[in-house]
Amino acid sequence: MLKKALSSLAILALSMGFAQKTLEIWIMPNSPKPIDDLKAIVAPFEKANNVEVKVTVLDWGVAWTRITTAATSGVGPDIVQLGTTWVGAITAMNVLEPVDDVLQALGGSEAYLPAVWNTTRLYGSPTATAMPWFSELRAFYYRTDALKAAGVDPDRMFSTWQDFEAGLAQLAKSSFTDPVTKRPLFPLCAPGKNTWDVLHNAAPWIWGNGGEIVKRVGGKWQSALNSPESLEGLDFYFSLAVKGYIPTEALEKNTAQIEADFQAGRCAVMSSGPWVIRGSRLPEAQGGFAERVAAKNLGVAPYPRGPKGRYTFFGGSNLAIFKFSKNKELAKELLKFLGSPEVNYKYAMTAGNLPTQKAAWERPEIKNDPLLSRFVQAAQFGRTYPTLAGWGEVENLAVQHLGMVWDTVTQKRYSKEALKDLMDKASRAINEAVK
Amino acid sequence: MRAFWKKYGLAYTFIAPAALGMLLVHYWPMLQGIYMSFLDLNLRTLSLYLKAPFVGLANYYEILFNTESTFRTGFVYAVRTTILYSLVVNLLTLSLGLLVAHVLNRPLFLRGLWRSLILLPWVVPSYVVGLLWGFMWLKNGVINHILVDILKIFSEKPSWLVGPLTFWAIVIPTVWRSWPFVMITYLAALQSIPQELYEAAKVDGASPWQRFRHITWPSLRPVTAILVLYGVLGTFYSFNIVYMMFGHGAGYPGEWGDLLMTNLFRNTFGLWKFGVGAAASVLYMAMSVAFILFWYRVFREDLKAR
Repeated sequence: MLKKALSSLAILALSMGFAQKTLEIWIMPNSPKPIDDLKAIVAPFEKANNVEVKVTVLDWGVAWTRITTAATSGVGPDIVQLGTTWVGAITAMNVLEPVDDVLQALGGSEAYLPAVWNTTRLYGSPTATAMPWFSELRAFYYRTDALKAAGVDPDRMFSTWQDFEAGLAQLAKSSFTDPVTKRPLFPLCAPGKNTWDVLHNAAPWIWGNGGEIVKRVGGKWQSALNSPESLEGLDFYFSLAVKGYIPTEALEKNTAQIEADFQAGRCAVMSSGPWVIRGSRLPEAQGGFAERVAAKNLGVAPYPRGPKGRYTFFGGSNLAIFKFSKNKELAKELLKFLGSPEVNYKYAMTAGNLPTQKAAWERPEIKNDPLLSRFVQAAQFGRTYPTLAGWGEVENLAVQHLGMVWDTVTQKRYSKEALKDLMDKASRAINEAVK
Repeated sequence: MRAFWKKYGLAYTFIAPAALGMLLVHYWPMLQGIYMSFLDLNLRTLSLYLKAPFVGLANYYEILFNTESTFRTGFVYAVRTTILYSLVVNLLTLSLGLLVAHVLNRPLFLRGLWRSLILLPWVVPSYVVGLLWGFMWLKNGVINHILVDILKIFSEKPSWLVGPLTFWAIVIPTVWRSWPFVMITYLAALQSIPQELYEAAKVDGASPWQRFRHITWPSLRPVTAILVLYGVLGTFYSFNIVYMMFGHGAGYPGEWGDLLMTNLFRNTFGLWKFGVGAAASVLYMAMSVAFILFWYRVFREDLKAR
């Protein structure tokens, strides 16, 4: 009996010694089949290193709470996906392992666009804590057939703000109807306040007019939402809705519903990320809209140039290693694997986003693609939010107050004074929060 | 002591696991939450958790007296909307529930079927209710289609999900989901009233209103007491419908859509002010306790065993 027990103990000990190591990674639903898609990407790494990569998917809605809980309790995965705007906050909690060596191995700052490189660390820190994984940026999608019928030249329309508005005015007057819905198209579809990217949608108009969301004054961050430049830029944006180019029925929808409207042939122009291109090439049975008229007449253009410059929102996701990981070296190897240009490109394409490595951007599949190449062009104007520890507070307060401005628009009581009043309130709150 | 143990020991042994469970999962976190309300717990001190700096009543001061506090963004609106929401929802569910219970308490063709059908909304989880009604309230959604295109009640399609109409956009789904429970409870209470009372009253020449006033209503008061308590606390802590209806928690539901709980959630987890958030929760808890005391005063007589 004793002998039997001893031998089974020995087998157990042996099997534990030879057991495969596991690396745990938390990601968000980046692609249609988040777990399978990532497992397929990491399969060669698992084989080469005799390791099992365990993938857990967190919904965006709960991810923040789960990640901060893990950071606080020290119980969590080895590797975690962070939205680029979260890097500052989580880094400030002092729970992330420096990854300078990983980034060095991947080519250092030379290998990335400056906008991407900024998101690798807490603002102003010499130490990198996150590796850029995939990029998300915004550009305008338009219906080539609708613009043509209205006599609008897309190159002209998306060159300056004035041309953009003139183009929308022409689209509004156009008698073009969608061949399927038999109805005229709305010139521009954009969500109002009932969506998660309220600030991303407003930011290019603030930046393009020389304004900023926050700026550094005497070593301290302050809201700049109520500066004359920001207000003028925002006024231009909100006026597009006041003048009726954005229909009121769009203003109560969220981004996904706006995309659905565009795909259904109800809008001539909308702003969105690169995933719409992937959708336009996938049949409806696989979650795309390739059969629709909108997919067959799809054009992409960067945001138009404002009076003080041309900008578009640039975000995405990075990967970071928790300090409490027991497999830091192996985790770093996995980061190097996922960050290498080839794998970086492959995963970004699966996720319908863009890669982060400059080398991956240079690939013919992107550069020679008529639509994706427009995003490469738009990326030159990409601008990220500063990775402040308190960015979450700033964004939250900005979103709340921009939401109140959208309320004035939909209730037809919008005015420059109302906008200034609300942005003054937002700025007081933001200054209080980042103090 | 020994005799006591001999008599009740077994009972206490049986209660012990449940009591321990309650202590662990209910009272311990609650005490932690109360303690947290005295700490400066934010993103920077989160890793210290309960060892975060002790700040006494500063968090309470911030909520009650610091008008510049970011935590109070939209707070006054949320208080106003929650009070109105609670009043309107409970008045509507109680009256609708009582009315329909009366109708179903008499011989009716296919009565069982109607009862089951009416109960259906109650089994739909509230976050699904929020999600579905969010679609239905859209400007080109099914509700406006019925109201404007078919019934022609309004000349143009109103926006339900922005502006003051949001109030009705959250009230109506809440009533839709909660009244069946009220109805079934009233129905059960109605059926327990002895028929002889009504027969005797009829013989004495009591009008239908008098029979309701003097027989039905007094018998329903204990049940009403429970329903009022349940309903008011339910609406006070209402979260899912508002959270799901306005961009799945993103964005801001607006002055007429934001409730205390969505406001608390946004300001606590969006601004990462966990200490202040805990203090606000304690205050809300105190408000509910105050309401329960008031409620008990009103219904004390009805709750006594008869």
